[in-house]
Amino acid sequence: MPNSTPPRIPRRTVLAGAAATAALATLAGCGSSDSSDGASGGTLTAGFDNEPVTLDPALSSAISSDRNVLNLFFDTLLRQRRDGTFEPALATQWTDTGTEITFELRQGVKFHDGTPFDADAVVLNLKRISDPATRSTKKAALASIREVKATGPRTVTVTLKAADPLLLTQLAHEPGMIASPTALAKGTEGFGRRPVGTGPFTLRQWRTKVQLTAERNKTYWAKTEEGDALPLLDKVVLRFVTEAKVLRAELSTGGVQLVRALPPEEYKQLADAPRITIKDEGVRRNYYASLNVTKGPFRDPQVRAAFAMAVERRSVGKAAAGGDFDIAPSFATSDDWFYDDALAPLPYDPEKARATLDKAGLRGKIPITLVARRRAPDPTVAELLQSQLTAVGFAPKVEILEFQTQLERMRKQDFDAAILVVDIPRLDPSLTFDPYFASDGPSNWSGLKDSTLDALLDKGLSTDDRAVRKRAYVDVQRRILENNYWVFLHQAKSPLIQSSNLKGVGLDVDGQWRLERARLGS
Amino acid sequence: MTGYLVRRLFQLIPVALVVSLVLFMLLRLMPGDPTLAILGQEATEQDRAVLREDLGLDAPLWQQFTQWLGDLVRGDLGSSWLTDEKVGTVISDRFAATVELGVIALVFAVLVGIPAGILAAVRRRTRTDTALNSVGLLALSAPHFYLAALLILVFALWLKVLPPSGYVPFTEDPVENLRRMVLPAVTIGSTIAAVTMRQTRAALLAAFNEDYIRTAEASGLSRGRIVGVYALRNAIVPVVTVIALQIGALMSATVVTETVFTVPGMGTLIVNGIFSRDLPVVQGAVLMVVVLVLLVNLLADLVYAWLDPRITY
Repeated sequence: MPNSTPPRIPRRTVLAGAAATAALATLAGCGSSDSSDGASGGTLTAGFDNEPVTLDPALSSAISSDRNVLNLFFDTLLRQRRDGTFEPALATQWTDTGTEITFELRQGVKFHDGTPFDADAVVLNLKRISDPATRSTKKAALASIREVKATGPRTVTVTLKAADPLLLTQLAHEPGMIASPTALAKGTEGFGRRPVGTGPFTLRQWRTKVQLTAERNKTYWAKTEEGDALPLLDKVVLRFVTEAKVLRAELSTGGVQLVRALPPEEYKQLADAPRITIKDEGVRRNYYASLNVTKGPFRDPQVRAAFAMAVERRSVGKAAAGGDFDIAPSFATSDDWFYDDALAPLPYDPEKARATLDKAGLRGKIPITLVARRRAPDPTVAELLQSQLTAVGFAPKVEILEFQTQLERMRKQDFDAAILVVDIPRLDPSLTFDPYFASDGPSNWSGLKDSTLDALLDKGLSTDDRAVRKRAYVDVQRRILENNYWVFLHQAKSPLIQSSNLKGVGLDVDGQWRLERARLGS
Repeated sequence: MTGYLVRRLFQLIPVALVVSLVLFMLLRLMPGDPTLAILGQEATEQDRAVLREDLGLDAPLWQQFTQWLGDLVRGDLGSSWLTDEKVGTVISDRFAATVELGVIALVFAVLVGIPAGILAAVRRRTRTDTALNSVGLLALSAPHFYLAALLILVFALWLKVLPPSGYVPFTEDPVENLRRMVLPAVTIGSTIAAVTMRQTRAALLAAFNEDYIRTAEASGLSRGRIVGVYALRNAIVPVVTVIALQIGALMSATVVTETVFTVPGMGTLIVNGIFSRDLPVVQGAVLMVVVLVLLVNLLADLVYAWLDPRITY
């Protein structure tokens, strides 16, 4: 539904009516959840290719994949449904005046170590993130908070420096995960290896590079609609397997029943496999070429336009994603509320690309350096671009680099065009666009200093009115496309791959797992 | 003998020191930023700078090295930049899996390589010899990642007799542990088995031309006794040398193989350490591997003396 406008985030609504019963009934139903058939219990073994460095949500550094694991052990005050709206979790209701949010907390909840969950625990956790001494990787997410106070044993009031349309989203994910104060008091050094929250599972054992075992939290507070205890599984085992071929073999032999991600060349081989379901849940891997505007030929907008017109994105998608891809104008997918199909990059036109280079006064072979990551299918993408660019008059040199080396080259702007991938959607368009396109963005590979773009990005964060925000982000995308700062390539599908007997895997907005309602049927 | 042993052990120190220095410098020459793995891709430059200072990365290289060396002398290999765990603890956690894998691979190599070598030598220039040599050549030339994928395909996916990957500690479930060790051990062991086979064959063929074998044959001793007792005893010394030399190759083979089969050993530790630029872990782990290889070579020298009484130290 590209052009539909989903309901506005109910931020300023007083959620007084959100009674605890409703909360219990709707909780965690963010994904596909049917709960009528199948036996509960059992052990789910999942293959996971990106082992977290720490399970302390305040220090987690992966952009989102750690949350698959953190969701097992931690709850947040509220949760975000896949349509972007919020529902109660550890807070049963909240009021939001724009600069002050008051949370009413759930009663009778206990952390895994028996510590009662209360307002002081929430205050301690939120202050811990903001405290510079914590060195939290989530500090910026809560930067708009001026003060957090326990205004009652079960009431927390958060006062803001200025309205922040993103704050509830942030509080519904890692920055809002509440850890046990007793466990934190024992020192944060070990906490990352022994997380203690209120979540549906408790940590049994974490053996680095092998597996992590989580067991059912027998006193978990949430119930199913029928009043049955959650979680449904007895145990979750995450096996840390990094080789895609081995992950596929494990899925085929039943060694794992769920995998985090598989590249197309692997999951396509499972298409006819019995007992394996491959379902597109809207998660995409968006390949892009970022053009360095600080030096070299791509300082000239005409040369960037020539690059954009030289690239035939469909053939790149066909070769690199086995045909399982979408073409979209930017990071937005057609399901996103900030998608606009009126936006269009320059069409593939090698003749015009050549003419544009001529017009720019660049004749003969124009040497450029393309950097790409040494991991399939990135080198394929780079080689295809190389041949397409050569055809219009560029002389691209492709450098295939190890990831850290590539990032260092990109951060130092030591490249002409950089090929990489971003997992989309993210929780909010600001989290997708700001890091890459704001002048002070940490991943501003292109080296942009575009005050118009900065102003548009700021506008996107200035209000929670979704119509205004949509306009801002459509303008952001238009600005990027008009200037050809980046050339967005294909969006490879990254489906949910699981055993057919596994039901009820819930998903966050950005496709990370919630397993409290998961169960293994017969 | 004791004097020799002490001398050899002392010789380890300068070797380990030079290796450490070269490794330290090489690791620091690698492009990439350790703060990236710790703070994530989207941290600010300011936060990165603070962390770099914390890790001591702003100090001159020689100072960083002497600091590391000073700690090492006190028995402290430092802490992982990524997880803050003690490097010594991390290594001791991982060492068991690699040693077990290495031992099984070696046992496999010896049990397959030596008999195959004897068979090839005894049946030289027959079809058996050609077949064994061809298989050996194949095992020598197949890269480990390829062999690993092939073994997974055959034994896990087609025959479904062994799990494709994973690790269970021996202390927890010995049977499951061994089931999961078979494929990685065969992957690593195949190369050593091939080398051992070729060496055994060549050494035996050389021994067969010696006068004492002719004498033994003339005395009417059985073929089995001649090969098994007289020829093999003399041919085995170079075989042991070759096997000992293979320990270094074995350690490098574990790097790829452990990653494929997700065995949590020194190989995966080093690979992951390099990818995340967790240099103290890489430094400590490689040093341990170097010391291990040196010690195994020393052990091989001691085994010669046992095998061949003419060798004394």
